[in-house]
Amino acid sequence: MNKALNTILLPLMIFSFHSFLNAQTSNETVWFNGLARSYFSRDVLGNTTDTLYPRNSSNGYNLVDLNIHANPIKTIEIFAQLRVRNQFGSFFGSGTNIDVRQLRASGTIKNKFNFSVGDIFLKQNRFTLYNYNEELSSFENDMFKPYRDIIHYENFYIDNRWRLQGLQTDFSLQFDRFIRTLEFDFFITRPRGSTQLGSNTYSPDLILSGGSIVSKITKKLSFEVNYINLFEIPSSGNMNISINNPVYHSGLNYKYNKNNFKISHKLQTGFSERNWLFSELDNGSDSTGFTTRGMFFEFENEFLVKDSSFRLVLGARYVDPNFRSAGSQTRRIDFNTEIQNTVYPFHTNDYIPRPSSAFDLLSDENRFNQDLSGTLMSFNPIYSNVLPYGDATPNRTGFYLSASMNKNQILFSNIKTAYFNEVIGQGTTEKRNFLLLAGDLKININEILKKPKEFSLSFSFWNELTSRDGDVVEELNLNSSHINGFINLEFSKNFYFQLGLKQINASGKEFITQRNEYGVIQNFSLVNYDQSDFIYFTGINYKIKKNIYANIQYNWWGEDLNNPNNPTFNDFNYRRLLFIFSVKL
Amino acid sequence: MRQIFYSKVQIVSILIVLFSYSTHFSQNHDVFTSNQAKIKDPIDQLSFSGNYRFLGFVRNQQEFFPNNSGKTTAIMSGDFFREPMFLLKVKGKTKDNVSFGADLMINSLYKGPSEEFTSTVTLDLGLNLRTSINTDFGVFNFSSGGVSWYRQSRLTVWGNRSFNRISIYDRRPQNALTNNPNDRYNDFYKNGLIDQGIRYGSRAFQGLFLQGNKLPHNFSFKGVIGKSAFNRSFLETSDNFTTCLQINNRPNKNLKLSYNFLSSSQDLDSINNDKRQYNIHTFELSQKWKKINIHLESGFGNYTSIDEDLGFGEAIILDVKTDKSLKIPLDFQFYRISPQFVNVTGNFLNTSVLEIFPNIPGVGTTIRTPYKSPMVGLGFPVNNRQGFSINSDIDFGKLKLNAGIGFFSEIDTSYAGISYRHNVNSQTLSRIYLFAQGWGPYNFLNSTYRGVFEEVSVSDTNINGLANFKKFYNTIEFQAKYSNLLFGRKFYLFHLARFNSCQRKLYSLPQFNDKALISQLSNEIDFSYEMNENAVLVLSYGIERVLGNSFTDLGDNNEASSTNLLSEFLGIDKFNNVNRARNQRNRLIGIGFDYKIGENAMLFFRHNRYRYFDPNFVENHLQGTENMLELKITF
Repeated sequence: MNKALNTILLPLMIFSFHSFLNAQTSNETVWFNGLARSYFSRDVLGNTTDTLYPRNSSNGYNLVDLNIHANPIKTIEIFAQLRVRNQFGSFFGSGTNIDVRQLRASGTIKNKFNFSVGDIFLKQNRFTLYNYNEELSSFENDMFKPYRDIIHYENFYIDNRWRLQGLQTDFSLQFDRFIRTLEFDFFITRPRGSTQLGSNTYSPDLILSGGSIVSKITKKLSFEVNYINLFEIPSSGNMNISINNPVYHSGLNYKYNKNNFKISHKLQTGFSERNWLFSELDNGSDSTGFTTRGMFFEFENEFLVKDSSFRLVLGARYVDPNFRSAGSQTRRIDFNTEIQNTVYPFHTNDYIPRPSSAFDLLSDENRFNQDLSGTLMSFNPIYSNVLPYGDATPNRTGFYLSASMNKNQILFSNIKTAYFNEVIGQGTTEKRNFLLLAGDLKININEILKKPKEFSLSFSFWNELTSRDGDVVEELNLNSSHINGFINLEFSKNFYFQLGLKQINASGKEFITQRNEYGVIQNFSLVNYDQSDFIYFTGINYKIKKNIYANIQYNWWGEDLNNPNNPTFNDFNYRRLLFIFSVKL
Repeated sequence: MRQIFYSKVQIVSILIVLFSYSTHFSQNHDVFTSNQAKIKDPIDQLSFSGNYRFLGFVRNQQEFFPNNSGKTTAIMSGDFFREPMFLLKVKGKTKDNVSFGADLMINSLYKGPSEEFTSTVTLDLGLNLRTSINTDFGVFNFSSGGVSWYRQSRLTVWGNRSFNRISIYDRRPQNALTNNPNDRYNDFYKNGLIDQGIRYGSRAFQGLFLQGNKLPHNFSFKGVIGKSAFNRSFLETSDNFTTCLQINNRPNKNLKLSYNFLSSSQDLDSINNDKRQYNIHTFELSQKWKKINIHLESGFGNYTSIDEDLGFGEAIILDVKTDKSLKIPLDFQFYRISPQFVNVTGNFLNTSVLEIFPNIPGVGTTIRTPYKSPMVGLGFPVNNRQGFSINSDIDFGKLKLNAGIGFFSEIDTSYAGISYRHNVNSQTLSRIYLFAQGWGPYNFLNSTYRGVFEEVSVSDTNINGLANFKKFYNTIEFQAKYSNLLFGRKFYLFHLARFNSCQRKLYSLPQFNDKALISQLSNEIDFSYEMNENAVLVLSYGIERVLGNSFTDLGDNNEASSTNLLSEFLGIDKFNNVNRARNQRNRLIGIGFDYKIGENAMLFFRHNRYRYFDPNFVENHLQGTENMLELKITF
């Protein structure tokens, strides 16, 4: 397929350059942009007792993603993204890949209907279709921007959207009576096509379709309904088992200004159903099984000072234990134990798999997921236990509050707190209690000293407390705290000296939920935590623009597993020299 | 059913009502969409250049080696070497002065429409990112990626670059197109230089490149951390790097001082315990004094590995040139490079450490140069060797002559072998078995990129298996160029003679007799005639004789053959010596034409009749024809 696409696209690219040259002075029928990156990393073993592994290993590449935008007419665009990648150390064509990364046609028909066909990036709302940020990425103040940029770009994480392939259209109507607007949006995509699994076994096509109707009833009041469904087409494969997961959502939003505030109140609710269709059973009939139905409810209030110097969000949320929404509950990181880390996947001289640490979640692009999942994916409670599936995390009820403040560009601060309970207990009648306390503070010292060159200190703290009462077996408590510290000093024009740390400390015990392929809980395994993940780094950043920079940094990272009772847990630590030159073309 | 029908009616009714009340469709306000917003942000500059080069190749072998598969005719698109048919160079530059470049290589085998013959798109060399930073202290150029062509100094990083004494009958893919066909021969006649592309004289590097110019006190520097083409490991992630640095100072316009550094390090095992590395420090001085230019580079290097620690060794290259404006300009070169001074990226051949060449299948052979006491032409220094050469050129009207003579000796005894590169039919032979080592019926031949060298064993050895003596080399090169009019059209006649010998002691002239372990004498005559403004007829004749003495490999023919072809031809027995060692007679007769079919488009045809023959080694006999039709279009 890629070969065929290459065959089609490369001539398009090659022969379009004449059009491009002409385009500089005319209507730009073909124009280009993209991204280029040089990457080099050298990992070094920290544990001197590990003698079976290379003491160091290096890896690097150069790539250019050339985006070709062809506009045969003003309202239509054909977009293709070609990737040319060259492995560091490969000479004269070896280690070179040229791939089609994206292909899309989009436009507007008669200035009425927008459409997109091909690779599209979709988002609806936080309970139907939403790609939540990965854990440990909050309140970093661009501390690990080079790493995050790569992870997000390589996995197509753009603006909390899911990358999908299919068709999308939207249009809107304006009214002069009764209501102001009525906006429609529909899409149908195929997250996974039918594939051959065995000699005569084919998986069915997986389809994600949805639609939204949004109406601005008045200047202040708006209403929306959303629908999304992830389903498999049984006849497109021969597995005879197919998922069906429709989610319905509606919301009412009321916005107004009062004194110096912009205030909004949003009420939203909805429900979901998920089941599996077992077709062509022995008796010739079809039946559905593992059916779950659940609802959610959220009431959120936002207070924003007009100059954006202060923002407060206060809300309450209830999400049913059986609420299932693949589009919003799919996680970026799957903690499936079968996934190996890329850097030093094994450690100790017993050659045991190395557990993932905070550094792997920061830097290993292969750990990240782009596929929608019909069942809840595994997570690690020390990195995220309060809301592992974002706001759509099932089995949660409680309150939340967040605030942000900007004081004359000198001081920036964010606060985030939440208190949730489980709706029903897992494996017991006792319910977990969750408490989230988080905040960050950034001080622009150069603003205080009235100096033109940037000098800032930032610090953040993220603490998650999980507890459950009950007897010795039921009782659990987990305390997990994430700390970030970052110094950013511009010592010469556009050159920044940077120093930072990230530390995750976790102690206590928690039960890991084990589910089967239909998402049904099978077992709980108790894990006692007493560990500390750390990443320290120092480096120099040459920042030409926000998306154009050269960064060289040295990382110290690892994990301390202070568990004398379990000798299979071993501490590890490594170091890395990293160079990234990233250019948005 | 009725319920469904009614619900559909209701939906349709609602839509009709809605549309009837709507004033218009709108795309102009902030409407909800599940899709992302479109932002038009084109790159500032993007340009394309490159060329299309089709090479139709037909080879018909009449005499072939005994291990030939039976396939004696080859019909190809391209000549086996990896070369782009369609080279598309993409260059872009952002508003922030960051540029990038990639060179896409698009080939087609033209072997039919079957998908198995479809070639994938790849890169000819690689990707590059560059930017320039202007500061109060100077201008800093930074680039990353590669392949980039990098040159520093002759003892550290420098591509092969000699006196341009070559035959220009053969074309290389990198040869640029001239305005019209005759310019190629005219340029060679006048200047001796043919545009060989940017890679000529430089080395391929990947990595991070930093250059600082216009620094305080007339300083400048450049350096790279990365890999040369020789930095290949059996484990891709193992450390295998070369680091270079040059710091320059120019106290005045006639004097330039430089310090050069090079370090190459390679892990040898999977857990990085064993290393092989060498370091070089040199100082350079370039002084222009009236009509004399002096260039001196001198330094020391050391080589260590798990197997041997060679310690420190010295190297010096001195080049004294008089100004071209003198009636008889002279170029005196002296060098001494000790066996401990090891480097594979400099302008000299490494002959003391074989292991430094990567031994990766499919890689090592492409870049392994002759290492067993190579007998080389002038301008190709070799380590474990010292000597000097004098070159000069003189014009007698339309006759331009240039010549050089060189005397060299080994510093220490070395391998019991000698290698020499063929001057005639070298490209033709290399195409028969690409990048192979020790091939041919006697395993003498080694193919490199568009060349073949041969290895000769020496039987007089010491207890260590090394040669029992130091080797001495004599070299003479002579080139004559003549141009005039014939039937009112320009013609060019080029003659190139190269004479090398290797023996146990130094002589005043190269030897072509049994005093020399190996003698190599070649004569190449090229003739080009401008038929009209767009067409040039080219003729070429080359003959190469290689003789070995009884201390080298002996042939399998029981009957010795004559070493003097002329006396044998004339039947004069007095001068007719015979031998049973190498007695090679290589010959090339070529005819071709260059034709300009349009602006930036030319057609080249070559018909070669080749013969590689040695009567003493009965199976060393190749003979056949090659036809090449090259269409090159640049843009």
